[in-house]
Amino acid sequence: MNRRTFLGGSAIAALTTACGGERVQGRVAQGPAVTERTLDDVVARALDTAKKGGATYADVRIVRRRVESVRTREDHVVSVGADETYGIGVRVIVDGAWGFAAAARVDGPSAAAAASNAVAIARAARPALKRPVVLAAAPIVKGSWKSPMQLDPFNIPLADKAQYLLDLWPLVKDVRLVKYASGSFESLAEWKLFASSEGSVVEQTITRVSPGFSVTAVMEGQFESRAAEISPAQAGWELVTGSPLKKDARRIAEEAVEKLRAPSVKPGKRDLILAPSNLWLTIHESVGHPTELDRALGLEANFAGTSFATTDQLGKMKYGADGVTIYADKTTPTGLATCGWDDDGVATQRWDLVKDGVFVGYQTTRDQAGWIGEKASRGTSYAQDHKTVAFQRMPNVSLAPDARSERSLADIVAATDNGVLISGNGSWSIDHQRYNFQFSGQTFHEVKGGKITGPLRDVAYQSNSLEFWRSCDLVGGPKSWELNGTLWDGKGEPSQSNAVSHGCPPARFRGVDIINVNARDNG
Amino acid sequence: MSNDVIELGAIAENLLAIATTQAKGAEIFATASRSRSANVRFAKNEMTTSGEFDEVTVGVSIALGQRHAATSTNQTDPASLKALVERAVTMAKLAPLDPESMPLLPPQQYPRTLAPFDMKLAAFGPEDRAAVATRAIAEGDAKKVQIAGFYQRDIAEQAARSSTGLSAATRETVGSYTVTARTSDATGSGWGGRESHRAAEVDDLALSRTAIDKALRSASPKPVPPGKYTVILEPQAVAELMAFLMNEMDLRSMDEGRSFFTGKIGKKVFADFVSVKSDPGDPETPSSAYDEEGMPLGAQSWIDGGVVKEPYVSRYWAQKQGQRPTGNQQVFKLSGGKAESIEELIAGTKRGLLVTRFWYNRMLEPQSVTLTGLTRDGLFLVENGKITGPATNFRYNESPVTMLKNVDAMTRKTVRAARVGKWHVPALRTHEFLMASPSAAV
Repeated sequence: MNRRTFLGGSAIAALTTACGGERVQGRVAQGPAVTERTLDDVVARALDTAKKGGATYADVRIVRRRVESVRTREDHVVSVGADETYGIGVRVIVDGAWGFAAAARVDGPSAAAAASNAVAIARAARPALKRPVVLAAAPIVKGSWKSPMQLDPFNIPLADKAQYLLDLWPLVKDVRLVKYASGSFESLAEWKLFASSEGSVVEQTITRVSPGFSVTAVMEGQFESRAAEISPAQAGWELVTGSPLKKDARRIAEEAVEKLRAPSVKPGKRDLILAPSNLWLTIHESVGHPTELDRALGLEANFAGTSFATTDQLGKMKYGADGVTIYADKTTPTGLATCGWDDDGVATQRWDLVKDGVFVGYQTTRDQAGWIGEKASRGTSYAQDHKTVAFQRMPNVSLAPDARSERSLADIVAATDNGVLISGNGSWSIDHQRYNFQFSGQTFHEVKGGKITGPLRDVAYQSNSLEFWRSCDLVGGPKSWELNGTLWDGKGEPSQSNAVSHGCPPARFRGVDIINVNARDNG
Repeated sequence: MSNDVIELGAIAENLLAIATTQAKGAEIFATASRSRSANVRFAKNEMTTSGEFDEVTVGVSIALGQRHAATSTNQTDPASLKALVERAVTMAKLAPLDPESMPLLPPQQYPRTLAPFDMKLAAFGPEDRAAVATRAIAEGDAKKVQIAGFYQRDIAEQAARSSTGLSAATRETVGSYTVTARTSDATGSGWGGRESHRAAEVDDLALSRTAIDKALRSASPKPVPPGKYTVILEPQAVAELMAFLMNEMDLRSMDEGRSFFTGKIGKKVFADFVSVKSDPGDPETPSSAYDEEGMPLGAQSWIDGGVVKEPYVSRYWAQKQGQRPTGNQQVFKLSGGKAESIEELIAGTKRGLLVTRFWYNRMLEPQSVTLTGLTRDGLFLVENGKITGPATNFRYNESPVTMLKNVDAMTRKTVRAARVGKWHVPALRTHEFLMASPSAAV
């Protein structure tokens, strides 16, 4: 077998055919001059070397990551930076064992060397392996995918991005007690070509942006900060220019001051109303991570821990109230984890994790699906860059709105007699089996008799994931559904970052423990 | 993985030369850093993943007056270096003025420090790493527990050159091993971990046995009520809280009124015997002799005899306030204890909890540095000087300020905790530590 037949044809030629000629332009516009012939040679050499080394499966990812950042404080720039990595990652299965190695040079000899290293590592690992890796069957795929966006953030002049942030300070600086503000904008681009020994070849270009702005107020030895509720997304610069950040800046500053003067919360069980800007992270921690199959089976035991959502509970456990349906979806528009294919080359999809309150699904990859008797992967494999190995990572995980309702956040407040409304993210923490969590927020308001009666300070809510979701009795309608997310979800050893979004409407949870976190007289 | 020598100094000089040509009159800081990282991971008593990489990253900072930008890439061919500089120059020209920007440092004399570099660790190959997993799995199988762990070996080298004539170089090795054992009935979990620049100080078999022993002893824990407890914190637990405290020791934040330490320099805040120092020249805590700006790193006393002493002072803030800049320290040591062992701390405790480590630690209330997080992988009830059994886990809501204020004993010996930065810490006993709510996690 020559390298072309092992690969199933030229990688680039295959891609061109599959894309019907719609090849993504500008693929190699940044960085060293790498021709398609070089890429083709890299793919072929990696896969061919792996095969000759005894690999029964191999894949190669050529990945370029670019990050550009601007940071400001008050009226000036703090830092401006651009970082880029480029290279090859080769993953092989030899005698049932995984091996992985990477190279920063993108050429045929480096690809061959990486493949040889990966084979040697797999062979070294084999004696400590008891169950050989088995990949679930997956269709051979060929195609390309690119983030939809209007304004490529890498094409926006740096000065414009910095100026946008600097223009926020004059909007807030005369709010009494406001002393400091910080702004940031990050653009992230991920281009990758994936090719497997089975013949799959996909090319993807993903662009993400992340704006940030926060204000700090200081009064009589005390300080409070308020961060804008603007989420990162798979989008372009239009996310910022179309956002209400400038319109809201002054309110954000006033709310920082309001936090300083607000009464400290009285702890106790209260009805809890969570805005989407807060609830997304609770979904991430209490549903997203527990339903990762590798975690549930103990593969993450040494780092992030295991899960209460064990495989014997699948299809049986009452995870939430009847009105709670939570789904995984790597196709959600603007979702940070959205793409065409995962890093196993499996097409992305949507499926339920919790359906009408019952635990019904896990997140899987090709090497995991068989562990729970499933015939196909859910397509959630991901590696953060060329030099890290792909493994199961969280897709976008979202709470479905109440499709039969027009319910808004205001409606939920109006229906609540004695509660606390929390918006934005503050402190967050959850135990290593995902039972006990505690979250704070950006703003807190008392709700009495269906009305917001005033701000509160020092608020956090603490609960158990199952008790919390079972106590959910009101979920907003489709119009109240929002997408929020993070660029920096950590998992694995060595730790890798994954960008992920979570959509949800506002929702109400009955009788949740509200705690007071004030310890300012300490010291 | 290659053992070839790569002349990082030559790469940095070449980068500086390219930048000097392209950005006449600019201040230029060029670095070349090589990272050789290799790891092995296992779980459920079998190998899962292993991998390695060997990369050089080049970085350049360009300052045109008070406009500046920094770029980096892992591509080191001539065209990439040229492109890297062009991008930095273009960005610097477009960047708004930064009135706080500082001129580059002139050539520096760096203290002679013992390089934290161990040839034995540098030579740790794929078979050595696989053997770590094999040994742990054999122990786990023999004791019928589930075992999972991660061993990572890093070799980091860097050379820095500047247009002001500054020249610096450093290299270090880091070996870290963490291991978790869980009983077959899933009611007990134990942990072991250590990090060092020396291979000999990361005794993987001993750590695996510690994790297994703790898992077996922590099986079927009994609930104890939430509340304030005397706690004996093992070194890993101490280190996890300390990093948050030191983040607050920044003179600028203090002067701006947004740090716990505002107004506290020279005041006694902690117990009499508590000291926190940084000293890359101390053979017990070797580290790089310079920071990311090329500032020499000497000894710095953060807390001495419970008194707040020297916070971090940036070069800009030092100039503005007429202070001496400290450099950005990378290694820390909490010390001052006299206890010979953790057992001695336990023996002197009437009723308390022995904590192996914490998990998911986050800032809860910055004004008081109150943190939240959870106990994990071995929480034990101590009564009348003895461990009387395992306890179910807790969420804590507590401040490292309180920890160091109420501490009444620490071990004399310190160890470098695993994967929390370079923290050398003792075990300690402290009081009134708030275990706020129960956690069912094992």
